[in-house]
Amino acid sequence: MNTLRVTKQQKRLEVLLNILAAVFMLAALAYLFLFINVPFITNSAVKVTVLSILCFIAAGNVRRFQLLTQIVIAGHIISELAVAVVLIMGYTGGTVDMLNPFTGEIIMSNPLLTILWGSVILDGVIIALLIWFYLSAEKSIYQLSYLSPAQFRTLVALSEALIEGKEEKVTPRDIAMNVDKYLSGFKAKSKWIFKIVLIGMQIYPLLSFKPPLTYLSSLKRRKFLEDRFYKDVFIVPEFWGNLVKVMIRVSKQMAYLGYYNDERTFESIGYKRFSERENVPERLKNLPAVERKPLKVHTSSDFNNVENINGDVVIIGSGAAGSIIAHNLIEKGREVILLERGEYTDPSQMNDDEVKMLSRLYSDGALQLSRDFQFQILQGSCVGGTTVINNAVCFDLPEDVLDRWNDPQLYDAGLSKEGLFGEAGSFKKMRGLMGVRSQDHNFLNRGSVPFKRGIENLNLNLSPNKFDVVEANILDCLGCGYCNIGCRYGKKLSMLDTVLPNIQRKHPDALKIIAGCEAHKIKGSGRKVKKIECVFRNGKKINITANTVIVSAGAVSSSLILLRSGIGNGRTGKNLCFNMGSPITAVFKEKINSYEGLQISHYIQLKPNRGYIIETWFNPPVAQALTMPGWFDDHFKNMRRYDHLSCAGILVPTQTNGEVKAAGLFGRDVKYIPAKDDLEKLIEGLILAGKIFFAGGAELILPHTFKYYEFKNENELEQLKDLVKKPGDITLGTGHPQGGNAISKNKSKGVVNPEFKVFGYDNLYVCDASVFPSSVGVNPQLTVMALADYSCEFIN
Amino acid sequence: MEKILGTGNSFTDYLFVLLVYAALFIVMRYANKRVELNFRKTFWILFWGWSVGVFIGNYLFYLIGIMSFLPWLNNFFHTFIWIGLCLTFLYAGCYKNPLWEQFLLFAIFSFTVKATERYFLGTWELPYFFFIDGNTAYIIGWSLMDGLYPFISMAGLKIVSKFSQGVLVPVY
Repeated sequence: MNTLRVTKQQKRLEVLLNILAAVFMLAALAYLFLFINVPFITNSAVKVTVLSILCFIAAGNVRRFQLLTQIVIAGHIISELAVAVVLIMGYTGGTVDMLNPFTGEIIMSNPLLTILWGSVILDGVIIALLIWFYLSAEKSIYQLSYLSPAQFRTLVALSEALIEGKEEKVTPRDIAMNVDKYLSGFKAKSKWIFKIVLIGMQIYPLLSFKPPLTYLSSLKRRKFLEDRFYKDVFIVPEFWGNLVKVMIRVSKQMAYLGYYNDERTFESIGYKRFSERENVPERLKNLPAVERKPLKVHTSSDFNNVENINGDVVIIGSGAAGSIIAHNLIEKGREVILLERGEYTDPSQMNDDEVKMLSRLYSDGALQLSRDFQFQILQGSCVGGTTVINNAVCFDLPEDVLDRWNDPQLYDAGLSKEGLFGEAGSFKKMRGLMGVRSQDHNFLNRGSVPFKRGIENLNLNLSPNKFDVVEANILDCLGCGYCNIGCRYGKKLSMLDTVLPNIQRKHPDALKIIAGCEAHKIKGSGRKVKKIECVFRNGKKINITANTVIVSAGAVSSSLILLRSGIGNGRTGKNLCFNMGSPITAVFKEKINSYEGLQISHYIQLKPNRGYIIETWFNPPVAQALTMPGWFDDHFKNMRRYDHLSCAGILVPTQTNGEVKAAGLFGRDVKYIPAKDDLEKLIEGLILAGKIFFAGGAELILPHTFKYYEFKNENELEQLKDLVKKPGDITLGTGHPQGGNAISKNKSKGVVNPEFKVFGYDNLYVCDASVFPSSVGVNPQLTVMALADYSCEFIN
Repeated sequence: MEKILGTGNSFTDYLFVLLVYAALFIVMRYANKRVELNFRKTFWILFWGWSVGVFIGNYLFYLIGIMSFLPWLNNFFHTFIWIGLCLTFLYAGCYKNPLWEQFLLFAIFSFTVKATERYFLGTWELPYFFFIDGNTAYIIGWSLMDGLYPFISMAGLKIVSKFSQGVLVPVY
C-alpha cells in the first residue's frame, strides 16, 4: 500500500475544507460589518474565524491534520446542540437586524426564529458533508475491509502498547492491518464485539479526564493500560471489573493475533514452519501426503432463492455424529442430504496460516464466547465439523460415566452397555472405521519429553495411574503440529478425509452435501416435522422437506436449532456442560521446540480419579500467544522463548450448570459460570502439572492467570489456590461442549428418548454431544461417533 | 355504543381488563414459555374453535336466558383474547397433567377473569345460575363450566383428528 498517495476521497475532503475556510472567513467579515450589534458578536466572529483557520490548515494535509477536521466537526455539533437548547428553552421572539456598515441603517430585519432554524439547517448540512467526506477519505487511506479508521487507529495504539519489547518485528500498523484482514475473513454474529471493544478502549480514558487512547503518548498509554486494565481491575466493582477484563483481553487477543501470525516474527521466537524444518522432504517422501478425490459439495450458487428441495433423510451437521449417521443410513439404502453451516475447505487448500485457517474452519472464527465473554468455546464449522480441527484424540466413554448416565435415580439414559462396549458394539466398530490407533511414533510433541521425565521421576506412571501416549484417528503422522488448523496432508482421518469421500465414492448419488447453509428452523405439523428452513451465508433461502430429520450440529447449535423451532420447550438447552480446560506453561533452559510434532501426545489420569485429566499440548505461534501468560514485555519475553517452552492442558468435566439460549446479543447465548468445585479441581490439576514439569527439569512454571506469576519451585505452586478464586482470575476455555438435549427415558429429564427420538415427535432425532447427560471427562470424539453409530439402529 | 362497550364503560375500563389478562398470561408462561412445535396446529384449531364457538354461544345463551348480555367488545375480548389465546396457551402447557388438575386450573383462572370483568365492566351479572340463586353462584357456576375446557377440547380434537393430520390428541 502506498501510504503517501493522495486519494480521490482525500482530495475531495481538501476541496470541501478549502470551501468552508472561505465561507467561514466571509461569515466572520459579515459578523463584523453587517451584524455588529448582535449580542455575542465577538464570540461569533471568533468562532467562525477559528473554524476558517482550522479548515484552512486541515485542507493542507488532511491526513496529517485529521484531528483538525475532527475538531471542526465537533465544533459544529456543539453549535447545533447550543442552538437546540435556545430553541427549546430560550427566548426566540426577537428579530436580528442586518445593518449598513457605513450609515448604521437597518437593511434587513429577520425573525430570530428564522435565523436559528437557518443555522440548524446550515450546520447540519456542513456536519453531514464533513463526516461523509472525512470517513470516506479515512477509509481510502487505510483501505480497510472491516474496521473503521477510528477503530483501526485504536488498534494501532493498543498494539504499540501491548506488543512491548526489544526488536519488535512488525509495526503496530501492520499488526492492525493483519487483524482487519482476519476479521473480514469470516462471518459471525459476534464479530461486532471487536468494534465495540475498540471504541470502548478509545473512549475509556475520558472517564479519568484523560484524552482518548490514541491521543495519549505511547508511554502514558502504556501506563494507563497497566493502571486501569491490569492492576486496578481488582479494586473496582465486580461487574465493572469483568467488563474491563473483557476489553483488555479482547484487545490483547487482537494484537497478538496480528503480530504472531506475521512470518516476520517467526525467527525471533524460534519457530520454523513445517516446510522449513529439517528432514521434512525426507519425511514427506517416506510418508507422502494422501491424495483424495475432492468431495462433491453443493453451495448457494447451485440453488435458486426460496427453492424447495425434497429429500429422504436430512442430517443437520457434518461432524463426528452427522457423518457417521449418514454413512450408516446410506449403507442401509437411505438417501441423505447433509447440511453444514460452515464452508467446504478441501485439505489441499489448508496451510500453515493460522489466522486464515481459524477464520475458515472454526465456528464464529474461533470467537465463540460464553455470555460473560470469559469462557471460550471452540468448535469446528466446516464440512467435516470439529473432526477437521480437533486433535483426533480418542478415548472410550468411561464406564463409570455410562453407569451414571444409566442410573434411574440420575439421568436414566437407557443406553445398552452391550450395544456400546460389546464385541459387536459401537465403540469397537468406530475404532475400526476411523482407524483409531496409539500414536506411539517418532513425531510426537517434543514438549512431552520433559513431561514424561517428570512423570517418571514422580513415579506417577505406576499402576493404577494411567499414563500413556494418546490414541487418535491419525495414520502415519508427519508431526507438522497443525492438527488444530486442519491437516493438509490427509493424515488425520477426519470425516472430511475419510467417511464422507468414501460414501460418495461408493454411493455417488446417495449423499448430497450442502455447505455454507445454516438450518434456521424446523417446521412441522403435529408429531411430524416436515420442513427445514435454511439460510445461506449470502442470505439466500431454501426449504428442505424430508421424511426423517436428524439434528447433529453439536452441543451448542443443536440446542439452538431446537429452541428456535420451539421444540423441547423448557428442557432444550439446559444441563450444558464442558470439559473445561486451562493451560500451564513450563520454561526450560534448553531448546525444546514443542511446536514440532503431534500437538497432543501424552495424557495422565490419576487413579482413583481426581476429577481431571492432564494432556501435553502445544500450538503454532498465534494459538500459543493467545494462551501465553503475561502482559506487555512479560508476554513478549515469554514468546521470545517460545522454543524453550512446554505446555500441558488440564481438562475438568464440569457440572451441568450451563445453558444455551436462542437469545442475547448474538442470538446464541451460552450461559455458563464455572462452579467452585470445578475450579478447585482445575487448580489441583494445574498444581500437579506444574510439579510434573518441575520434576522434568523446568526452570519456571507459568499459569495462565489474569495477573502474571512466575513460579520458581514446587512450593510456590500452592499459591495458585489463593490466587485463583473466581473464573475471571484465570483463562478458561473448552473444545468439548456437551449436553443441552439430554438422553433419558424420563421425559421430564431429557429431550430425546433412548432411541434418540425427540419426545413428542415421530421423525425427529438428535444425536451428537448434546445428548450427553453429563460431561464425559475425556476427549469426547469417539463417544460421539459411537453414539451416532448406536443410534442408527433406531432411526427410521 | 352501549351495546358494544356496555353501560357506562370506557375504553380505559377495557384497558384494565386487558392488563389483568396480561398479568394472568405472565403467570401461565411460568410453566410453559412457548407453544411446542408439535402443538401449534392444534393450538390454532382450538383457538378458532373456542373463540368463534363461545362468541356465538354467549349470545345464544343470553337469548335463551341462561346468561347475561355481554357487550360485544367484552364478548370479543373474553372469547378471542382470553379463551382463544390465553386459555389455549394454558392448555398447550398443561394438557399432559392429570385432568382434575387441569379442571381446577381452568376454573380458577376463569373465575379470576369473570370477577375482573364484573369489577371493571359490570358484566357477568345475573341473579341465578340455572336453578341456583345469586350472582356469586352465576359467576362460580360458569367458571366451573370453563373448567371443562380440557374435557371438551379433548373430545373435539378426537373428532378433528379423524379429518385432519397433525392434530395432537391428549392421551391419559
